[in-house]
Amino acid sequence: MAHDKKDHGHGHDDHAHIQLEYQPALPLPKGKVFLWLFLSTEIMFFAALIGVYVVIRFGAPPGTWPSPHDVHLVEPIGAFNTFVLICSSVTVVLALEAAKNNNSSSARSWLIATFLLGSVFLLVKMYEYNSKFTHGIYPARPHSLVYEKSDVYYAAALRTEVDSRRAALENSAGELSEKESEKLQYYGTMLEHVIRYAERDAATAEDPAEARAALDALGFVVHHSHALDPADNPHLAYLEGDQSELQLRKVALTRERAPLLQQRRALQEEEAKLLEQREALDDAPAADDASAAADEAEGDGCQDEPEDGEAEDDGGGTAVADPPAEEEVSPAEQLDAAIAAKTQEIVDFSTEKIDPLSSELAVIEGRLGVLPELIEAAKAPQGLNDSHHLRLPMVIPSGNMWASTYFLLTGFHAIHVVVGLIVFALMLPVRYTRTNAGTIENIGLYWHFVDLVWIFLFPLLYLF
Amino acid sequence: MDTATEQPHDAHGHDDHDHGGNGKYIMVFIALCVLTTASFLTFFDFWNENIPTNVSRTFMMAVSCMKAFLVMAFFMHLIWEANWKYVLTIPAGMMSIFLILMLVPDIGCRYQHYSYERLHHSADPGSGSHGHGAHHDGEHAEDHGHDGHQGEHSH
Repeated sequence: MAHDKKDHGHGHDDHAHIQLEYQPALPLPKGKVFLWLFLSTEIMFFAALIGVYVVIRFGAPPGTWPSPHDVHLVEPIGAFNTFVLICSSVTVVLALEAAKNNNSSSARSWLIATFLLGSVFLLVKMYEYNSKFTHGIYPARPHSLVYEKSDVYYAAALRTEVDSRRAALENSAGELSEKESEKLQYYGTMLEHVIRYAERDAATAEDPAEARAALDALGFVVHHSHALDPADNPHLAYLEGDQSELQLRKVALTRERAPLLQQRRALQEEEAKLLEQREALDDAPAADDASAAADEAEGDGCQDEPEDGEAEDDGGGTAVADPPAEEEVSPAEQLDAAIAAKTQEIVDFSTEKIDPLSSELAVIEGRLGVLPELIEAAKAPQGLNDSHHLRLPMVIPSGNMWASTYFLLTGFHAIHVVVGLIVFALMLPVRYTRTNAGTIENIGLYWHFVDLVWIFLFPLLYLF
Repeated sequence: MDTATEQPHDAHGHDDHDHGGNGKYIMVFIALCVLTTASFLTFFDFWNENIPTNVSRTFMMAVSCMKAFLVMAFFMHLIWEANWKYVLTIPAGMMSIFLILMLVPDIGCRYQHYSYERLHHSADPGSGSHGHGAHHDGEHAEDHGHDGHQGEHSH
């Protein structure tokens, strides 16, 4: 409501021919004033969001902010979305121009085009969000699989997850399909020879740096998003070092074990001899020399051994030994006692001398079995999580903070896009001419602002 | 009501026509596309190999500001508006900058004031950096001796 008035207030301006205009408000339609006021609050709103992002990002512990590839952000898609929004800004402007020229059908088609472009933007955004979610990148637990660093807590979380998956497969009712049993085996290997091994390694390493390297390599193998230069890849170096060390240790252990195995074989042969004698005694009930032989055997047998895994047949032999021992009490009993002593001797020898070596060898062999795969994974452009679609807990330094800021910024922007689209949808049935073109101008201002925000979000989120 | 809305239109009616013509908008559109492409160049390896990160970030922000200027000036018609535009945009802009500056001491510099416990649980780039932004973070990635506690504690 503008009032034309003569200005009486200022004497020096008081020339009769000057017609000054008194306006109680800005020289704008009310809608536009409100929209601009709204936009100026929006400027502060998004400036705060973007500012917080910038400040959080550059204040993050050095070197930890994830690169776009770490978090499955695809720059060309972002660029495409920028292009889409710019196009939609142009179509709004063209709709406004068409309406001002009383060309309402053309105004409508430009509005439809804007609506479609906005929808394309949202669809692409949905696709992007989805790719984050499928990779376990959420703003918070329990959905988020992101860990800040590869420490013992991370290793424990990884172990728990793999273990529970393995248990679920083991306890599942019914036959496992071929794929499932493969998975079961994979998880078993992973648990024993990758995760527990790394945890043990970290726990027993004398050098803290080595403990650190073990866990870092674990985290790196599970998740990384680009290949490192092989010459400058500490995780690869660690794994290869582990491999060559274990190979040496394996040779040493095998060498150490070989004479022990031989000794045990000798003991087992002696035991077999005794068993033969025992059988012979059963067949020919009166044979004194047998008992003499038994005495002798007992004499030299004090340094032998048995063993479980590879042993021939000790247990079976001893178990057989009683029924025919009747009146010829002494030789048979003597023989039985000798056999039992020998058997015990073999068992003791195995558990004391051979078993520790064998179990260490088993651990080493298991680890050596998976190491080639781990080394391959450390060289590959992606970790096991991506190449095998494992969805295991993964290390993305500052990944949780990244996810929070990313979803907050793009989420608020997307809400603005949704609101814009709703308004455009409501506007589509209306016929726009010069008289009501102001509506298009107002929604256009809002829409350009949404575009403006994205103009800053795109480089900050995708390219920085 | 009609007259009320017509009147202000007339007040700046003189510029309603002289900036018409879609050619101008198409030119702006092309400029925006070119600028987007320009900032997207930073995505490619040849750019990253030849241009320091800080320079390309400054470049991207400059490009974004230019794009923002184009959108505001032409699409939002600010270039043709009367002086009221400064009333609404400048205070808002100053408030925004002020807001961001206020965040710097507490949030932007938070890493400098981490306690040992906090550092202990904070993100860590690991012994081999994960991100390809590794070239700008060398400064104090190494100087916090919070590695290896696992090894010591577990004995």
